[in-house]
This record gives sequence, C-alpha cells and structure tokens, in this order.
Amino acid sequence: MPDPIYLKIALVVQLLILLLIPLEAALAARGKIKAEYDLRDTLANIGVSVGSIFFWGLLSWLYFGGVLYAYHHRLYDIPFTAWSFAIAFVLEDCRYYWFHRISHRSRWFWASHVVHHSSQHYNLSTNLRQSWTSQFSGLTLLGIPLAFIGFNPALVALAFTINLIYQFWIHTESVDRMPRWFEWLLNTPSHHRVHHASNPRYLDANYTGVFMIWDRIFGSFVAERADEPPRYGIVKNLGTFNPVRIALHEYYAIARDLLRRDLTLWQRLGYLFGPPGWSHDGSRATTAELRAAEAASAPAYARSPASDLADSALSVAE
Amino acid sequence: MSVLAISIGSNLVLGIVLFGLLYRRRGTDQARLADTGDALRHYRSLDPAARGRAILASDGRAAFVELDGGDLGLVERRGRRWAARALETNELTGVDASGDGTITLRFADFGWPRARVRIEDPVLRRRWLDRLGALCAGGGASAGAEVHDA
Repeated sequence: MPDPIYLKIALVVQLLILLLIPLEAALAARGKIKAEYDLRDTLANIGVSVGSIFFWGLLSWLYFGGVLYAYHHRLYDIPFTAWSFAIAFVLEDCRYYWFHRISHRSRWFWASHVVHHSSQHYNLSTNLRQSWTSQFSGLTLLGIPLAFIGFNPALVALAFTINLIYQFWIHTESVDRMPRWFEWLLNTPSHHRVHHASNPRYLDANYTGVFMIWDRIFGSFVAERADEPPRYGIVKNLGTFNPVRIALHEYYAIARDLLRRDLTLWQRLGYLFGPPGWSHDGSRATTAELRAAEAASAPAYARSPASDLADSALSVAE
Repeated sequence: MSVLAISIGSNLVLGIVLFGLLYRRRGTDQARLADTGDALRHYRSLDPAARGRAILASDGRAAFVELDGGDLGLVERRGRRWAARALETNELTGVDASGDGTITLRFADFGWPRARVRIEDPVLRRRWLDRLGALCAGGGASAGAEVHDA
C-alpha cells in the first residue's frame, strides 16, 4: 500500500530537520547564533525519536480507525477544497490547543507529553523528543470531531501534519523576537521558550500550535521577559539520558502512587487524572500552587488568574 | 511502511554520528560546581525557598544539601546542566560507598535511578552514609543490607 501524501511530507520535513540540527549546532559552536547543545542530550533525543516513530507506526491505527469510523457516520459532506482546508486548519489548531492544555493539566496525559519537556536544553533537536504513548493515552481521539463534522480524514491529517511542521522552527534560542504583528498572531520561538520553561511564572502557558489567539482567548498567554530567562526542563528534572526511562518514567511514578495502601478510590483517581504534582496529603505542589507561591513572594511576577479558572474547570481532582 | 523505515533509519544515522562524536570527546567535560553557593543556587531551581548549606563532592560534580528544616537534597551534574532533587524517605532505596570514596545512591525513581557523590574525607563520608542510611531505614528499606562502606 503506498504511503499517504501527508506521511511523505512529514518524512521530507523530518529529513530537513535532521540536516538543520547539525547546522544549528555548528553555527552555535562558532558563536554565530545562540544555541546550546549537549551530545548526550541530543543523542537521547534521537533515541526517543526512534521509539516515537516506531510506536506511532505500531499504534496509529487506533487514531485512524476512530477517525475513519467517525467519518463514515459524518454529519455533512464537506468538499476537499482550499477553503475547507483553511477552515480545517484553524479548527485543527484549536483542537491542538486543548489537546496540549489537557496534556499539561492531567497527569495521565502528562505522562505521555512530559517526554517532550524533559530536556534541560532547548534547540532544534528538542523536536525529536516526542511521546511514545500518544496513541495509547487516548487523547488523540480529540481529532475525531472534525471527521464527524464531515472533514475528509486525509484533509484533517494534512492540517495536523502542517501544524506540527510549523512548530519545528520555534524550538530554538537563535531567534530572539519576530516583528510585533507576527508575535501577536503566531506562535514564535519566544512564546514557545516560555512554554518549555520551568520557572514558576512560565508554567502552564502558551499551549498554541500555530495561532496565538487561542492562548489569548483562553487566558494562558504569558510573554517572555528579558529579566527572567527561561530555565528549560520540568519542575523535577530527570537524572538520566536513557531513552526508555525518559519515555516511561512518569508511568512508573503513577504506578507507584496507585499501588500505595490506604488510599480511597477518589484519591487514586486524583493521582491518575489530577494535575501533575497533586497529592492526597498535600506533600507535593501542583504547578498552580508553585505559581501562587511565587506570586505571593513576588507580586510583580503574578499572572492573570484567567488561566487558573479554566484549569480548575478541567481538573477532576482539585 | 517505507516512510517509517526511512524515518527511523535517518535518525539512526545521525545517532551513530553523534555517538562517534561523544566517544571522541569523552572525558573533556570539565564543568564543576564553583562553591557551595553555586550548589545552593542550582538547588533553588527545584525549591526556590530553599535555605541551608551545601557540601561539595570532592570532584565538584555533585553536592549534598542540608536544608534549614533538616531535610536533605542533592545536586548532580547531568550533561552540561545540573539537576536537583530532594532526598526523601520513600524515594531512597539504597546507599553504598566504593573504595575511591564514591557514595552511590539508588532511588525508586525510573527517571533518576542512581546518583554518585564522591566524598574523599572518610569522616564526612561516614557521616553522610549514616544519614542516608537512616533515610533508607525510615522508608522501610532494609538499611542494614543496603548501606555499605567499602
């Protein structure tokens, strides 16, 4: 069976990425651009990438099966045109925003997505550090509504692919700021550096794939500050470059929590679906609590509460 | 399927090249903690309110942290970055020391399975082994079987 066009596009782009990574590293080593590479970190990214592609190939039928089933029972017949593609692209970006936000706000989905945030570096090779379990976590089913409305699954897949391709160039420190109109409208390296930072002020911000409008509408936009450089990684950084450990560590942690004795069913559900950092006895801190603590100690750094309101609506355990 | 095969293959080619580079550059990383203040600064990336003192490893590649409240922490070199973690009763599963003074800590943490801190001073090393051993015992680990000083 021939490979579909969006897969071929993804392959070409991936080959381009693999060429640009050594280029960025070489230019940074000569002091031409700002970027920091660590061989072990980049090697780990590649190891994770191989696993990610493998498991995507193995399990993508779960996603496509769902999408094709939904399309079979579609509400409308939407033709495959430039206009329908444009509409699908915008709707797909909105879907991506919520997929991404839920991936940060519920531990089961975070266990899959944390892989992408686990590097303490931020460069083009960070793109390669992708989840092994995105099909398995179930959140890709958010793609089904577009097919159910009547958008052709190939068109939806193309919109999704282009969305991901757009996000490649923003994983860099070599670009400071784009023109003001561009920064307002679209996702940029500056906005995404904030997203990858573990500074309390920057946690749970800038989930958008392409159009920053979603973060602005739903209250999760945070601008990068010159006086607070992003500190990349996660709140509790990893102590390993082993791709298997990187890909699966949070599932192990969830399992340890679920196997504790003397927990109620609701507490176990809290450990599974609650926000990362939630604990039944308050011994850990969620990202919202970390932000609140910093806001209390440094009010000038306080963020808009709008984002927290939306997150509390998402949370099942708080 | 050919797309997936090419995709995985191209990753592997770049990986092999990088592995070769890593092999050539082995032993060239000279980054060390400058002083105890440097170690505390790195620990504050985990706990911004942390106050206490740090004990540097002899090779400067790690540090123990004693917080004012009595809790313990660790800062360890991880590639070109530093990673910090609290040393907690239910996380630390084993401690031992080798002949060159390296204390190896084992954690019940799939994302950070072990850490090594080299303490050449035998008195200081013994003191830390005892403290870490007490943490293991507090977590229900068989401290007697897990804590060794070679």
